[in-house]
Amino acid sequence: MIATAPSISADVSVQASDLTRTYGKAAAPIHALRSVSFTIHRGERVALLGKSGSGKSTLLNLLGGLDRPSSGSVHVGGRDLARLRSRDLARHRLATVGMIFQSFNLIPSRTAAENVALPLVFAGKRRAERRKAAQHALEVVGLGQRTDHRPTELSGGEQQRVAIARALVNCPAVLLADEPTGNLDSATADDIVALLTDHVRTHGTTLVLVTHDEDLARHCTDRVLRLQDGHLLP
Amino acid sequence: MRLVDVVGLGLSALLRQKVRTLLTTLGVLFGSFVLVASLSVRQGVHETIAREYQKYGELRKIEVRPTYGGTKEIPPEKLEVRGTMSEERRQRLRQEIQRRWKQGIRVDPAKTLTRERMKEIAALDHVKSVEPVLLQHGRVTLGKKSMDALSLAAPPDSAEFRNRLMAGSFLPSADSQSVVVTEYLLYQLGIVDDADVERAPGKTLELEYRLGRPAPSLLLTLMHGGNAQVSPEEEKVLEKVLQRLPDAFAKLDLGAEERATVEKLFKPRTPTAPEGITIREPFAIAGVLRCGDGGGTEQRWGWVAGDVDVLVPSGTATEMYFRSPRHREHGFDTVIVEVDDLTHVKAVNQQILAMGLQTVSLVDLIEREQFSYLLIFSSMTVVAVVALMVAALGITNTMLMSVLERIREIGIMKAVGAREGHIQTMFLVEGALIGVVGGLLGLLMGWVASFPADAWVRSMIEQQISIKLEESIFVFPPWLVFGTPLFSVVVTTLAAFYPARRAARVNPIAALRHD
Repeated sequence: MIATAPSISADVSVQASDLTRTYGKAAAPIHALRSVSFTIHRGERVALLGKSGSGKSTLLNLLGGLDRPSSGSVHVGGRDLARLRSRDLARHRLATVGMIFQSFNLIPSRTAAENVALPLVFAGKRRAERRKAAQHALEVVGLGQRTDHRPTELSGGEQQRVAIARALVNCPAVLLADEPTGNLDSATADDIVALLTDHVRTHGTTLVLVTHDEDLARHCTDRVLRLQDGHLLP
Repeated sequence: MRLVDVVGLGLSALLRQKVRTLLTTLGVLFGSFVLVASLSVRQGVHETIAREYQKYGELRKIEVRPTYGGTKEIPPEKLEVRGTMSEERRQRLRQEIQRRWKQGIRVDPAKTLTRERMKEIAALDHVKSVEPVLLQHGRVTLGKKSMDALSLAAPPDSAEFRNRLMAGSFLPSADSQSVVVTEYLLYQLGIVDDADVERAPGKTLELEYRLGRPAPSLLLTLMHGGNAQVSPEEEKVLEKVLQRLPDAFAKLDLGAEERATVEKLFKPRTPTAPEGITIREPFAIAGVLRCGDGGGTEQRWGWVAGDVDVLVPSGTATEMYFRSPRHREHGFDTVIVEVDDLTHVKAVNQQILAMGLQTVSLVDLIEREQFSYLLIFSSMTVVAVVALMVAALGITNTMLMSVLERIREIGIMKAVGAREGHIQTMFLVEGALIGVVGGLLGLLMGWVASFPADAWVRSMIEQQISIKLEESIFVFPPWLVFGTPLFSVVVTTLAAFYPARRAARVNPIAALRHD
């Protein structure tokens, strides 16, 4: 399956064209995204800014391969996600992107290290290898001493660090963060943002940050894409 | 994803819900326990029945008889029903006349057990021996004494008689001109002292058979209502009297009508009746048998052994029997075919049946017996399978709940890269683990419970029918040991299939939004 776009240059990380996502029945459709087109370059830090219900989370889920577009195409890492089979989409989530959520989404019954190592389980890595990689990822986010704690034993900021470690453990090319500081107090939020931006800067990772915080968007990213009622504002 | 991780994830999910897992596993445990018990006892009873019969070596024997069948048709004039009556009644009467006619006529065997047919049977594959059951009344004379005796044709390797040998040796060969006699016969013939009995082997006695014609002494037996012991001299006189009986009627004081009646009654029925022959031959006594203990009834022809006075080698006995033309034509009444191995009995039996002969084989009997047990225990097995199915439904139910409870976890796994197949396999493994544990514990429980159960059944059997069983009535053949846990795994895995599918299809976005 060759991409429909004539050619995507090597430094393009994300390219969406006429991306549309409609929910619900045909009789009463809900248009979450209406014909959105944009390009994000490799290593670029982009904020998706918009009010709640503007379609920014929908767009992020499409980039993350958790959802499929109703029409249009979305290329991430050179592949059109709209055309991938289910198992290739899983591979995309596993290897190409790392996702960070507002509500952390850690598995409560597992330790920090186990949560971080979870993607490696599905990658078929051996136990020892997983342990080493999780330990390293947790050290990177400053939680090297808390590997055996369960999420309930960690603060909100620490939980989000664990989630970031999990997102980074496979060294993804694109980092997708959905309101990562939404549940945190401002001091902790600053630390988390600093951690994220430091990482993407040093590793050349593409960052797509969903937020409704104008300041955060302007301070931490190279470019701001504004969404309103499913439209990308010029 | 590695197998060890799939199993590990399934196991940890089960261990998180200990009570629930315990209860679902218990359901499977009981189901497979009943399954194991029913299959084990079924197999055990099956084997026990076969073993008990096998003990007597009788299973390998087939009793073969000639087939009797009237080929003669009823004369049409006899079928005529006169009188005024409904057509239905006439038809009924006609059928009854026909039925009674068939009963009344003497039918010769359609398929006989002649020497040629015996050779045919002996030539079949897997047939070890073909021996006639030849029980004959004869007369034994030793020195000056003589008496009626029952003789039996016996093969020289007949173990049941060999065991009773007290002096001399057994029949040297099937065709020898020798006999084995009982101590009772010798006693009756005047050989009384132990030392004389010891010296009896080597002596010659005379055996006399009348073939194809009843002995005249039979008449006395009928008149007196009991066994008549008649000396040879007396027998000759009797025979003379019988021959002259028709002439004697003339001298009796009878009316013309009565005379006619008597003459009609004594007229020979079959004018062409073959003349009977008498065989009288000397035999050397090979050995002496202890009297039987009256036992041996567990063998099919065992009851005969108790009354037999003389054993004649089977070959010699057959040869003598067939000296009568009538015997040559009609053959034996019963022959015993011994098959080399139990597994071939059915095939040989089929071949003999195909020759048009009748057979009785214990294998048939046992099969019928085993069939009835099979029915009983199969219904038990069906109940067990149903129990397992119910347990499986329980698994489906709890796992569906579990999918709902873990929907967020499933969403997270999908978000970090789990494929649908991974999620599905995880849940299937959970079902399989319940099946493995429940199935193995059920097997273990069945095995443990079989000891007291076997002891109980054994004591009941010993009390009620005084059979001492040598082995357990519960057996655990490999197919059972491996099959039942496997079956339980298959059932529980199938039970997990629908929940696993549901889990695999969870929409990650909806799942992550779930609280």
